[in-house]
Amino acid sequence: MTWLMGLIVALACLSSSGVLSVRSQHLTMVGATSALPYLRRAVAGWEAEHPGYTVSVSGGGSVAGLIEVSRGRADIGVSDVRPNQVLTGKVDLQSLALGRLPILFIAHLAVGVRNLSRAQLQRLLMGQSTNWKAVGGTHTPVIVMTRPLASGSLEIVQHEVLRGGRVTPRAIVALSNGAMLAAVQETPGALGFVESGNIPAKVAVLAVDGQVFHPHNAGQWPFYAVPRLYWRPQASASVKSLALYLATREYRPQYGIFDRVS
Amino acid sequence: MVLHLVALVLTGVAAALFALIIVSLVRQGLPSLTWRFLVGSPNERAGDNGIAPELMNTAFLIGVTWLVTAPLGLLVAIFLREYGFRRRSAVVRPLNHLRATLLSAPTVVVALVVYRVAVGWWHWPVSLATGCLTLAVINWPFMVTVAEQALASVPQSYREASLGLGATRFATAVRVVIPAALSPLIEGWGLAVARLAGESAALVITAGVNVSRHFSLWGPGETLAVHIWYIRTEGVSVNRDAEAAATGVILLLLIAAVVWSSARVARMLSGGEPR
Amino acid sequence: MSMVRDRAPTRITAAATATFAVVGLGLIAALLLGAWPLIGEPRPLANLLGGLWDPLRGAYGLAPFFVGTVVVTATAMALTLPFSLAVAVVLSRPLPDGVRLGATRVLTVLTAVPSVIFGWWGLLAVVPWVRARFGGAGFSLLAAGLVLAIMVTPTLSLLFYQALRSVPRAFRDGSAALGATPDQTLVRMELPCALPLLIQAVLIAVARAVGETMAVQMVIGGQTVLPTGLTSPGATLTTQILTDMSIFPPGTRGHAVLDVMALVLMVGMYLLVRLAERWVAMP
Repeated sequence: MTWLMGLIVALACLSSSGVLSVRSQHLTMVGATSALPYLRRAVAGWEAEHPGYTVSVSGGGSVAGLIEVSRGRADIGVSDVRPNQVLTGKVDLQSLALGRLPILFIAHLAVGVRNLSRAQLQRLLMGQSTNWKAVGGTHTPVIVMTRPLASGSLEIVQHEVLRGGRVTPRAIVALSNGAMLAAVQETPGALGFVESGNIPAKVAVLAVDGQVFHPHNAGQWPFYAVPRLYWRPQASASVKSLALYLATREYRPQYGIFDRVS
Repeated sequence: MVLHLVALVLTGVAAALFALIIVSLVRQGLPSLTWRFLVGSPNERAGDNGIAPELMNTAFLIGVTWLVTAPLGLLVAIFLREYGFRRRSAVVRPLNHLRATLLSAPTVVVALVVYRVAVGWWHWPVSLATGCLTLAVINWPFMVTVAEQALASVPQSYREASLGLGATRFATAVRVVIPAALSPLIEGWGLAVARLAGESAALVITAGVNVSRHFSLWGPGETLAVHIWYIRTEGVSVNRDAEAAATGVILLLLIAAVVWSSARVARMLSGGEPR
Repeated sequence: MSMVRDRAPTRITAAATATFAVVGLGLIAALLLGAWPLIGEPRPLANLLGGLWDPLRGAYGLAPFFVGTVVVTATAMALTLPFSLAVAVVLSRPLPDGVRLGATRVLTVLTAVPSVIFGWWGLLAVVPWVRARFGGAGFSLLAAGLVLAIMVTPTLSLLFYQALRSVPRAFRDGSAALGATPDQTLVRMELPCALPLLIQAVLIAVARAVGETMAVQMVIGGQTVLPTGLTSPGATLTTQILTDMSIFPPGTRGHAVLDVMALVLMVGMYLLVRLAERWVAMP
């Protein structure tokens, strides 16, 4: 019994005092996975200029990014959803935008449609049109693909395209952009959306209201997420240096992150 | 004989199915399986991706976790098995239920709790160390199970003889029972390594999804399984499917090598008799 | 006395065991603590048992996930049982030692294949097959059941094999000497003799199937309304934890329901453990 008590006391001490705290040279970033390919490269670049520092990037999603950074469990949060009181409490986070990450609407190659009006897109995503014939395509049932609730791109689609409406609950949920792309490629009748800076292969990238996406005019494409880096006001100089470095690399467009006009 | 024929046919179908899975994985991964791939670093845009840091992280995470949990599991098993508690006693039974329940706990759940304690309370960074802690919690119940089953395979008469000669219970366990149980222990330990190597969901949260230029216990620790997850999730490399498959092949080879060799060693120790 | 010399090592083993208990109970306590805020919600029980999942608006109906978990697990078990039993029967017949040894080692390696690999194969082969055969999206409870069935087959085969091997050789010889054919011996003598162990094996496999996350998530479709049939998409408790844990990290209001789901899983596992124990204690 004494053993048990001793252990509990020891655990309590550890939990309260933070004896094991090791944060100074090891930074943690948590957040949106859509910027991961870029962050993996850029973080390595910053580490090369700052010997002795290591930076871990953890998955978790946009919402987790905001929550973890505001509670001090991460040094930088990456998020493309807007912070609000519920997520961040009273912490007044500082932030820098990485740029614009275009959100493309994609469909299976055989649906016979390449251009949709915003209203058509809305009806399809909300499950009101259930066959591609209704929008001038082939006779194929529509299979809507969506992303989890935590996804920043879902929030933007519901806000910008559905005007506050919601994607049909009958939609298939793909966990990530990669899973979404693979699912739409292989499922006849599929309609989905991905965050991507180039034109993905083996799917139909839909034009919306006649506007066609191309990497050269990515700055004008109306649907985009803005992944931002967030940190606490009292963060150390190295955290700020890392954030500034990440937000200013000129090779961001290679990873689909564009400036406003390009 | 009809039933036996049916059994043979069904076995054939199952074997063919597994062969199909493995062959299609290897076929997709083979083009990317080059020496450069094994010794290079991740570099998606340049097109010459490598997985050397991931290999190292996998080995490190599993190695440390193994070194911590193998003795801990053995100690718990010795306490439960070798101190003469009856099987249904008030000490052993609840602990066995706990062990068996934890054994099937979803690893994501374990990871969330560890994250809250290590990252939230202790202010550890997301890192190899946190990943090790998570894997240790996931693996401990398994190690206890392995050790318990191994100790159970030793005939009671061995213990009686040793105790009769005046040895203490602990000495009996260490000098008599464990050497006699070494063969199943080693086999189980090999399986534990394989189980750990495949873990991805828990490590995405606790060990991170990138690798650092500077190797550190407190730095990020992407493993092979997590790398497969990453490539399939957001990877932007041109031949990402082939790279995921190639990483899968390497992971599978590692697992097969560990399981196979531990089974061989176990068989050598048991004097060649089939267990 | 030997007890005196034994004191230090006894303490060490006892301390290790106590730590183990603390870690395990701590894990469960953390889940309980996390699930606690849900008590404060209006009508928590009716809410949890309902069929509507809209966690951002406080609707935490878990019924679709219970149904998903049960259906997927049952499908997987129904599909794997004949195959696993067949493999075990074949292995337990007189075979050359080398063949038997090789086969069991291959099975052991297969039990450890990472679930992402099965999920990947499910996307490549199972989902398109379901789509071609039954229409719809292909992502479905059936696809998840098929992938799971394949995943648990090596584990279940090995456990069945151990169960059949526990039947003493003399019984089998005796049966043969009485003129029973191998089929008769198998059905009338070996399977009944091994029944408790066979059932325990099934329960272990069920536990593994219920707990599987990654592979199932990749092929099940993640739809959060009550599934209408075997070929409609759905979600299980584990896949839904994985999908929604990023919108409800620890400390948010909705996280409580994820902890409830985890607790339900743990209670389910505990019941399976007790059930398995009962079956083995019986003979």
